[in-house]
Amino acid sequence: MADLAKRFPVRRFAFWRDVRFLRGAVQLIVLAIVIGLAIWLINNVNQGLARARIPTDFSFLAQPSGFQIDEGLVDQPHKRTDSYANAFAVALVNTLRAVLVSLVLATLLGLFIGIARLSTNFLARTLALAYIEIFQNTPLLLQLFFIFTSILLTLPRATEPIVLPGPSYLSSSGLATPNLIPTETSGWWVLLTAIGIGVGVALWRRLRTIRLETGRTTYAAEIGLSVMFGVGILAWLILQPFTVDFPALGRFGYVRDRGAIVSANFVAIVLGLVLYTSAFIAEIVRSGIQSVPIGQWEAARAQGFTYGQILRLIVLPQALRVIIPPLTNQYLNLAKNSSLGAAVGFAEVFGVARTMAQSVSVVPIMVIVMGIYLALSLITSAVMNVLNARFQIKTR
Amino acid sequence: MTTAIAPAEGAPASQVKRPVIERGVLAWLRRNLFRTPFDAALTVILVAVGGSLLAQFLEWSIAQADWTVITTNFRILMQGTYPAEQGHRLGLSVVLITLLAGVSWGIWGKLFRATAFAFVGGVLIFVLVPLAAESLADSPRGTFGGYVSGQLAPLFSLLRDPVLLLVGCLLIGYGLGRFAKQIDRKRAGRYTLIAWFISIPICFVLVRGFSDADGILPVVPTSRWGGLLLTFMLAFVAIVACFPLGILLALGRMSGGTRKLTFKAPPRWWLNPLQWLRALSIWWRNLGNYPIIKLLCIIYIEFLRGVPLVTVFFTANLIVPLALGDNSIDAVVRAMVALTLFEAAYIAEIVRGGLQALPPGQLEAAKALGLSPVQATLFITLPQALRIAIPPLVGQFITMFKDTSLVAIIGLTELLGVSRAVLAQSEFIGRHRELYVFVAIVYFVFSYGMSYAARQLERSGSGAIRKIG
Repeated sequence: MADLAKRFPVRRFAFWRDVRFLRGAVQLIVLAIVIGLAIWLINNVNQGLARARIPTDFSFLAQPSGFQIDEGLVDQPHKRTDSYANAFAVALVNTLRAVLVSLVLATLLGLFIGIARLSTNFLARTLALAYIEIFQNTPLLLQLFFIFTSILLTLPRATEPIVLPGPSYLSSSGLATPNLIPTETSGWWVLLTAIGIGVGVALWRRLRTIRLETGRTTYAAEIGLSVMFGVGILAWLILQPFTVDFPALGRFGYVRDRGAIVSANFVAIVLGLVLYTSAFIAEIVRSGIQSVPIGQWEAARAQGFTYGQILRLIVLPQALRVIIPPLTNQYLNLAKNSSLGAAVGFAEVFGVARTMAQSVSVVPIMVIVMGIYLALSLITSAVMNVLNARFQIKTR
Repeated sequence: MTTAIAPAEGAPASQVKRPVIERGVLAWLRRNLFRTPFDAALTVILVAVGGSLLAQFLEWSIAQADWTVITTNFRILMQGTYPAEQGHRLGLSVVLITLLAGVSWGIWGKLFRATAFAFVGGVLIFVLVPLAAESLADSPRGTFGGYVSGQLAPLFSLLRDPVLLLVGCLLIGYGLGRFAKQIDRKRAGRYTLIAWFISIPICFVLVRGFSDADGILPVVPTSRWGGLLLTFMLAFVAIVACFPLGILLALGRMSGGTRKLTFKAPPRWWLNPLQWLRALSIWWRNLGNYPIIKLLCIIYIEFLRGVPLVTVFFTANLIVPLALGDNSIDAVVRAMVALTLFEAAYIAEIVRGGLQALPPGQLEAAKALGLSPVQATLFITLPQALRIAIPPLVGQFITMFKDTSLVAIIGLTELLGVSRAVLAQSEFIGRHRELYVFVAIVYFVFSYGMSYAARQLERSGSGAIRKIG
């Protein structure tokens, strides 16, 4: 060995020619530049704030805010004397409310329009195309302004509302719908329904296994479904767990504490988000369905499946693999776009932060706001990643 | 649609009917509108609903709407408070850009008959309505003729010249492009690309100017830009500036390769700090050869993609003057900076998608040929990745164009902001429908035009990887 080392001496070269050194050096230089830049900028901001005598700490959160928010799950969720932290919490609840409701509605409408886009009916697919193009090619903010000025401001006063089936009422004070009020038996009902669903699912699986193993007809789906829902319905009929509370009209508009009332601003932001996002979801659904090979349709049709069955059992499950990643992006966009609620006077996080910025320093406020949106985005993408992993093809 | 009738059992072949090929209007109707009873019901419902909506809109737009809000404020909607005597500079820029768009269309696109008819029809409307209005000039108010001459004619005659100019430039450019393509396709394409890169700074200089008040091109400060002009300048600057930044970020995120070490977790590893360190070290080593650069890029991209654009605008509006220690920075410049930084993160992800879609053989072949990493990126991988990424890039540019409307929230007067300012004037209160419909049409025309162009580009094959043979 020593002989070998003598015959082939390791050629020494300068350390700065070592690729590992070069990589490290390049990265350190970049890091130094970035950190230097950040320090310089932060320093400038701090000096500017100090010159303007604006505090940059978070101690304001405990102080009373001095403004009130009427929008929320309860009556008067944020009073003038409540703290800034409370205002943020109320605003976050409002954002979540708007995002969740819009998310569900936009998905349903988008699915519907995406399927209509591929309909054999000329009128249905043309109208779907027109819908998609109109809402995709104009800015959401413009749509919100339009909804606000042309629909919201023209609604009648609460004393003469538009009556919708239900009966529900729509007026400038908002949308009032019937509400379910729990009674003392509702806890039992929830428990019984949960048990029913659990037993139903277990039965379904068991019967399906029996069918797969023995080939006997076991009516797995029929029995399973009827147990799942039958128990809940029977229990409802016997226990009467909820009373329906209808909205009522008084002399000055809606009677408070009757029915479920959401503000007109809430209706406006949800309407805007749903119309805009569903156009994008429709395109995603269309491309997802088109990504399923036509042979799948033909094979299913040859086996006697109906159109609805083909869509539900054959095509959509395969299309979902293509649909879910871009759909995640749309959900993230929807959550971020809810920050435009300020344009229709809806008290969500960004709108409330803008109000706060008039009285306290903007730096801590924007740190909190961006933190909230980042957390929302991260949670949404985490949930959707789990979903995505479940729908991908399992390869062995 | 062919209907094949299966031969009955034992029937002689001569009795099998020939499949009937259905043609004509009735067959089309049956096939597309009344295929099944459900289809027929759907058609009837859609005709009723869609027809009544369309009828309401038409009745409103040609019999009730008061379009004077647009004719009166047309200049301010288009260019804000840009000095009127300098208007020719804007006209020149528009002509330049439209000509170039036409040339590109001639080289890479195709003029379909339907598009040509749409153009001719559109132009004819703008020419004919004012002409028709002259013959209806003495119709009394309240009648349809009176509405056409009083309301629609001024609007259309106002729009006629710009529309004629735009369409004219587009068609002249198209002709030029076709001509150049026949002479030398490759060189024509290259020169057009170069022309695009030169013309955007030229337009910027034309619009902004560079000398003092008495010079050839006096400076027009950005605070006087407004309306559609500001929308376009914001979009242009952001597109041009965010592109290199986005590519750098994408390269940074892809740099140094990746390793795929897996963390083989022993049971209950989360109780053991030493295992945490092992997991951390594997994660760090999986980042590749440039972990610090890659992490910085990931943090930048994921942070900006996780927050809404309005919050970025809002923060930049207040922080940029403080951070740069300079209070004189104009709100428009702040918005441009914010939009550029924000969109660069999205562009980076799109370019990364393109880079990842490349077959790894490309880079390996480049290395085998002795190209340095920089050469391999510049000449081999990046051009192909960008070519793959053209469709999503155009989509992002459309989004960017629409996103400029958010500066209205921080009080800038781009197209949407200026229309809100107009609506705040007492004489135009209640005219929001007319104005917003007009603004929506403007946005629609440009967004749809861009996506149409992108689709043509995709169809022409320019976006695809070149294949062997």
